[in-house]
Amino acid sequence: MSLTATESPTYSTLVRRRSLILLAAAAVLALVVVVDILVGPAFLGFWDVLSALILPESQVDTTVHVIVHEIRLPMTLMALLVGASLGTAGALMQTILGNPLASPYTLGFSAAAGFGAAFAILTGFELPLIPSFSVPVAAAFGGCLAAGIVYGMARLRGMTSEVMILAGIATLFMFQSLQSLVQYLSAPEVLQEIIFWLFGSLVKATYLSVSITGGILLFVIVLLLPEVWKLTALRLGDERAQSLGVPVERLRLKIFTLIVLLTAGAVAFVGTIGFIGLVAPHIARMLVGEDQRVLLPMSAVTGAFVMAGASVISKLISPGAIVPIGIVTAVIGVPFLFLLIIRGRRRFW
Amino acid sequence: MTLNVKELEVSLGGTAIVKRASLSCAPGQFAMLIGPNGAGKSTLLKALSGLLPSHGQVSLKDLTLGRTERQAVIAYMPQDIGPTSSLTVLEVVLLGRLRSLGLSVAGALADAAQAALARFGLAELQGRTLDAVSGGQRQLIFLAQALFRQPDVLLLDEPTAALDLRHQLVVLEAVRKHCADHGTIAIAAMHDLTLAAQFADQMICLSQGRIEAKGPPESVLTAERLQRVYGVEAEISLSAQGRPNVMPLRAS
Repeated sequence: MSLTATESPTYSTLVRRRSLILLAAAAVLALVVVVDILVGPAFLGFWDVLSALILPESQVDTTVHVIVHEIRLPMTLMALLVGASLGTAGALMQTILGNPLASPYTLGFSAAAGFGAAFAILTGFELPLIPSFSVPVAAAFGGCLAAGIVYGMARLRGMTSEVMILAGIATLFMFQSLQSLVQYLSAPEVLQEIIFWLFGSLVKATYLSVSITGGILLFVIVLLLPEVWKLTALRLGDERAQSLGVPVERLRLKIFTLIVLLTAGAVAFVGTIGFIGLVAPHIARMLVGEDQRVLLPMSAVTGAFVMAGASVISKLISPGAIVPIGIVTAVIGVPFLFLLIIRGRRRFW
Repeated sequence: MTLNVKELEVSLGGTAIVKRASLSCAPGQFAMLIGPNGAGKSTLLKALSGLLPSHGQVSLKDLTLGRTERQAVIAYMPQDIGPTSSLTVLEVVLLGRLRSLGLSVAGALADAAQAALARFGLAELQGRTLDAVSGGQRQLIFLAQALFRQPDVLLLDEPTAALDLRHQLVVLEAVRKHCADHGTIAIAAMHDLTLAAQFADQMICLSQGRIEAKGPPESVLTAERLQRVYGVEAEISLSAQGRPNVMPLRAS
């Protein structure tokens, strides 16, 4: 064992480098967002879209205005917010459970949300006053139910990562089975609607749903700010974090609740998007490391990038149509992840 | 700022691991906790630091401390060499002052963390990730973190286990100097009895969860006690500095 120190970058150099990577990623994301607004089945020209975005409504063709403001913009904003929410939720989940395979999807939250939505569609469940929110609310309820089961198990056996992961995986299988049962019981036309929801799609995005998802994300960010260093300390293991003064169980419970909120806010309106919560944090971690002050925003930006990129691809695959985004999220994220694994010098966990 | 422990008891899964342990350490004192495997050394240290629930009384400056209060003023360094993670070495040290860290890290705090690393000749590793350093380096980094925290009491579980001879001395000398300079109380669980005796102001011998003996090294390290506690026949001689040298001869 040699204890001789060798040259390595100073910490301040690293901090600068990470900030630049985050800024560069945000710039790339902005570019993808612009492309996403420009692309669509209506084949609008660049200047048409631009003028609809910057000119008053009276000076723009009504059809163009409606397409840009009522369809494309909400979809793009929703893609950004859902990607950012799932990326952040995944990073938090991996951090509090100390496991690279943890994500809202792998712990059954998304499967339970899918079951909730499928059940609501099958039974024709309708909320009084806000019937258009029936399926999203049922999906959010399903996600919360799964989280409640995982949390209940953890309460019985201690809030350790092992108990939570095992309970989460069991919950995933249970809700996947229930989803299959609902599909089996459904008439063909209902089944089609369920499957379309499960694929995940941005087409139902409205400014109201965008506001709800965005509001939840903002609320979670505010609550996360005082916890970033405690979360960083968790990467040293429970015992070391606790000896540094981190109330590990209480922190895990708080973050777990925030993850449930983020996931429910994301999947309720767009359906099951499984890939982003798992992979965006890994991509972010390889680029900026474990410091949660940078990792969490980077995970959000990466998740938003993958989601917006997938949105662009979903509109290009079949001209004149929009393929459900849940089908294509992995297509854009996996090659990028593989590239980082192959070329990156940093361990991915 | 004397540390007083009275009748501390720790049970795990219904089994008593530490039984009515009482001890006292004066400010600046470096105490060595010795005893065979399974004697309860790690459990005692964890209970003192507040990581494990316990019965009994732990007080500092005549103030009785609960579990949470202990976690604030007592630093504990576990015996494993730490996790692999892509946190940088300086971030690990900075975490020692978790309560002072905000969204941006003050320059003075980062400088102090660098100085803590420099003390062990590791300043150049500051930007390297924890998974890219050796086990011994990790041990030193976590010790730098513990000292950077400036606790009132420092508990070290086998701090020299992964280190070569030179670095064993570097670590123990650094702890002794820190105690002398800051009045910190340090208690280290050790297996190397001769090395422990060289640095100990007080030795505490634990056997089957009970404190078998405590006091100056020469009074605790006797051939008869090593036979009884460790089941080892040993020859004890005194060094030029009057410290006991333990030469184990055979297991009985």
